[in-house]
Parts: sequence; structure tokens; C-alpha cells
Amino acid sequence: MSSLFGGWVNSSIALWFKIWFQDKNTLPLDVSRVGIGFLLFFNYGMLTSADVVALYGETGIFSRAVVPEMSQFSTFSFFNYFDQAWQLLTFHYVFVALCFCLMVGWRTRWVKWLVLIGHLSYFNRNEFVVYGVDTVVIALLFILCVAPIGSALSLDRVRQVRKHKNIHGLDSRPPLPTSPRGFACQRLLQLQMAVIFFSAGTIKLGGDLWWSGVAPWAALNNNEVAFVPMGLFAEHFWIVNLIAYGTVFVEVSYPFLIWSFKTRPYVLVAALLLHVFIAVMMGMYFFASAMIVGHLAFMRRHWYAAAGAWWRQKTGPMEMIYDGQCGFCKRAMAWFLAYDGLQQISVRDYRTNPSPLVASEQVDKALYLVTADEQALPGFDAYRYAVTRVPGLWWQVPMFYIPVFSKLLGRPIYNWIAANRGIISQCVVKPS
Amino acid sequence: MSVFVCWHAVGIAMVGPYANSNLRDGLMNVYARYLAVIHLDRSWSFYAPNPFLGSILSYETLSAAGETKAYPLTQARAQFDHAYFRYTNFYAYLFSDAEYSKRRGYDLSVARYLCSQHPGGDVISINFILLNQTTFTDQDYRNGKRPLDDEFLQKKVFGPYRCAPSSEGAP
Repeated sequence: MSSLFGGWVNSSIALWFKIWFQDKNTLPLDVSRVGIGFLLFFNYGMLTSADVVALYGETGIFSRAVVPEMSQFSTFSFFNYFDQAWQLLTFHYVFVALCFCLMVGWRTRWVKWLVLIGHLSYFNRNEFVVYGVDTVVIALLFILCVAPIGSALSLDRVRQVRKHKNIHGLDSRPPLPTSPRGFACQRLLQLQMAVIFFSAGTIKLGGDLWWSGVAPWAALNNNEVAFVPMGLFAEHFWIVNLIAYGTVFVEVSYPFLIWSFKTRPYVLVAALLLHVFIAVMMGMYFFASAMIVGHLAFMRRHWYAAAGAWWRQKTGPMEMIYDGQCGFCKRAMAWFLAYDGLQQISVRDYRTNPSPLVASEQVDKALYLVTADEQALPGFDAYRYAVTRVPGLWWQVPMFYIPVFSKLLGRPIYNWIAANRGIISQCVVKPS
Repeated sequence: MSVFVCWHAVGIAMVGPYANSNLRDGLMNVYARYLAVIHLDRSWSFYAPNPFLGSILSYETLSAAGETKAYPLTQARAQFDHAYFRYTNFYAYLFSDAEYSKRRGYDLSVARYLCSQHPGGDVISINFILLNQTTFTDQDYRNGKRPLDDEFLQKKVFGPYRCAPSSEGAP
């Protein structure tokens, strides 16, 4: 009997760990981190100084004296300590910068907490200007704070990879860190989204307008969200009924069908369509985006892997040929390759492994990149070719593709650096 | 971590469309502060149980010369403006429970701000004008009517709120 009970306990514990604590990488969490950071950055970053003072300032629409007394724990706000507009604005722009840091994953370990506290400060200062996007973002961001995010799709990851390459060679790359804690947090994100949908759906079942299929008509006639002409819906009212019942069906069925691998893609597509509808028809694009970011927690790792493989195949392999005796070149390459998360670029040190396609005398003058169709591009053009094909380098595209200026300045600058790389190496690179 | 997972999972799952039960009330006694801190102590009732019909808030200034001029509030911003929903939510909420707003002083706070937007002392008072939308059917639409026609709006006026004559503009 006791062995039976012990077996049951052991299998229950094993099941618990299988459900919550698989040792997987944090890629889905970091996708959510990028999404949440992006939303916060744009949501707050697009507020003008006048908006910030009007919405959160002491001289704005909601003076501190009338902020409602909620729980003592939910009234904390940095804004309670700001009397002057410049203090408020300084905080605001620092916060926007922190949101940017969260998005790009710079010092994520502590930036995520600062962003959460900052976002709560806005929330608590004037709760009447918040709407769905703010509550959804807090729910997701809190879980991300507990999670070990920042180890993928981040500048933190770039720093880690660059350091690894400097120590172990340009060919090597550390695997993405795995974490059972991260997996548990991904599960919590998934649970949060399932709860949000289930609640939204079942509360709708208590409304007669949803049962009669009229609710979307009422919602879309509300002047606050009246974005589209209603003629089509008035003439073909069955479309309104279909939207109503479809919305309730998607929301109520979501928490049941999303867990099965077979039904998950269909449920995700249905949820995505629902949010696109909300964004387009009601103008709530921030809210819709926040919900879509939440749904991304259900994306499976091999879907990302398949997308990465497809991109690699589409762009084809690239080989960079560099001077292995130039310390500066190696460090620059380590920095550059650290952004190549899909490992699309292979490297060749022409000093030890000369290229059959590019003569060593040529590589003496500049780094070369050999494309899939065996085209050899030197220096500036090599980088210019790579930045459009390596997703981690897309942020550099504007620098390399400003009409006229990029080529006009880029090539001479590159050539000067390449010609003086020996001197730069002596000045910049510490002897190992 | 297992403890946190259990704790948080129960916390977020508890906030839902459930009738108050002894179990839920008991758990809420334990969870109330935790959920309040991260604002998870609210249901996810988007457009539920029924969508709101909407309202339009504007205000009207009265100058010393007796002239009146109207300004939009809920519709002051373009609908795709990034801050549109923040302002609209606030102004739509302001007089949704007028007695509560007055008791808390929300109306005075907004009036003071609006007075300050008209410096120079010319504006002596303002009135808020609230237009609540009423039920509008597809049949109405087919009959050539529109949701913001006068017959589908109920008008309420709140005020006057006097603007201080000083440059501070406080009512």
C-alpha cells in the first residue's frame, strides 16, 4: 500500500515538473519581452511633454489631492514626489529610455524591475487614464520580471556571445541558456492569457446583447471607438451576429483548445484575427498588440527554429574572410558576429586557411564576404550585404543604406580603418 | 519556484467570472493585497457583460463679455492619436457617476485644469456638457438616422465652475 502511495507521489511530482519545469531555452519569453518593451516604449514615448503634464502632473487634469485611496500597496507612485514639471518630465524620459533598454535587452536583469515599478507609478498616479493595454502589460511584465529573460534576442546575449568568441575563437558560439524557471514563467504567461480569454468570454455570456448577437453593433456605434462606417453591417446584420458569436466562441474555447498541439495553431490564428479586427475596427491597436504579444507565449520553439531555418535557406550561406593576425579585426568580427543569432555567417582566417576564391593579397587590404553564389564583396560592401540578411543586424540597415552618404562616407572610412588596422590594434586591443 | 508558481497561478486563475463563494472569498482575503499591488484584482471584462453605449463630454466657457464657446474633451484628439484612449477614458469616466465625482472632487480638478488652459482672466466660468448615447439599432441606420443624432443623445450639464480671476486660473 505504502509503495503504491509512494509511486503515486513520485509520478505526481514527475508530472508537476514535466508540466512546469522543463529545461528549455527562454526564446519565447524573450520574444514577449521584446514585444512588451516595444509597446511600452512607443506607448509612453509618443506622449508629448504637454500630455505627460496634463495626464500625470500636479497642474494637470487630476491633481494629487483627488487621487483615490485604494489599497495602501497600490498607491505607490514616484509621481507622488514630483512637484515640478521638470521633475516629472525627467522621470518620464528616463522611463522611456528604460523601456527601450527592456526592448533591446540591455541589462535586462534589473531594467525589467525598474520598468515594472515605473509603469506602476503611471498606473497608480492616474488610474482613470489606463485601459486594457495597461492591465494586460502589467500582468505579463510581472511574470517576465520573475523570469530569467534577456538571454536571447538581447544585447545581453550579444555581450555574452562576443565575450565567448573573444575567448574561445570566432567559430565558437555558446548555446542559448536553458532554464526550468523560465519554462515555468512561460507556462504562467500562457495561463494568464487563458484566464483573460476565458473571463472575457464567460462574462460576455452574462450579457443579453452578446446572446442576441447585437453587441458588436452596440460597441461599434459607441462614438469613442466608432472607426468604420456602419452601412455594410446595417445592410447585412448577419455579419454582426457572426462576429458576436465568433468572438464568444473563440474566447470561451481558447483555454480548452490552446493546450493541444493539434488545435493550437488554429486557436492562435483565430485569436490573432480577433485582435486584428479590434485594432482595425475599433482603433485599439495598442491593446490588440499587447494581447498578441501575450499569445506569443504559446509559440512553440520549433516554430521559431523552422522560421530561422527558412530564413537561412532563403538568404544562403555567407563566409567572411578576415585577418587572424589583426587583434582589432578579430574583436570587430566578434562584435559583428555576436548579432548573428541564426549563425548565417561562417568565418575564415586567411592566414591559416586561405580562401580558394579570394587571393590573400586582396584580404590584406580589406575583409571579404563570399556569398552563396560565390560573389566576393570587399570591406564596406561586405557589411552592407550582410546587414540586410542577418536579422540581428537589421538595426544597422539605415546606416548602410542612406542614399549616396552611406557609400560616399562608408567606403573611405572602412578603407582608412582597414589600412591602419595594425596601428589601431596596438592602440585599442590589450595584449592577451 | 514551485511555491511561487502555485501561488501566482491560483491568484491569476481566481480573478474571473465566478460568483462569490466561501472558497473564493476566503482566498481573496489572502490574495487581496498581492493582487492589488500588480492590479490583477480586476476582472477581464472587455466589452462585457454588455458594451457601453458611449458618451461625449465637452465644455463651454463663459467670458466676461457674456460670450460662450464650446470645446471638445472626449473628442479633442484624433482617434488614431496615441493618447486618444487615455483622454477619452478619463473624460468618459468623469461624469459616469456624477455624484461620486463631485464628492471626490474630480470635477473640480478637471475644471481647474481647463480654466488654466484659458489664461488672461477672460473666462469666468465653465460648464461641462455630457451627451450620453442611447440605443441605436440597425433599423434606425437603415432609416437614415445616425448614432449621434439629437434623438439618440441625452444631454446633461454640470456647472457652472467659476474660474479664478487671477492668472492661476483655479475655479
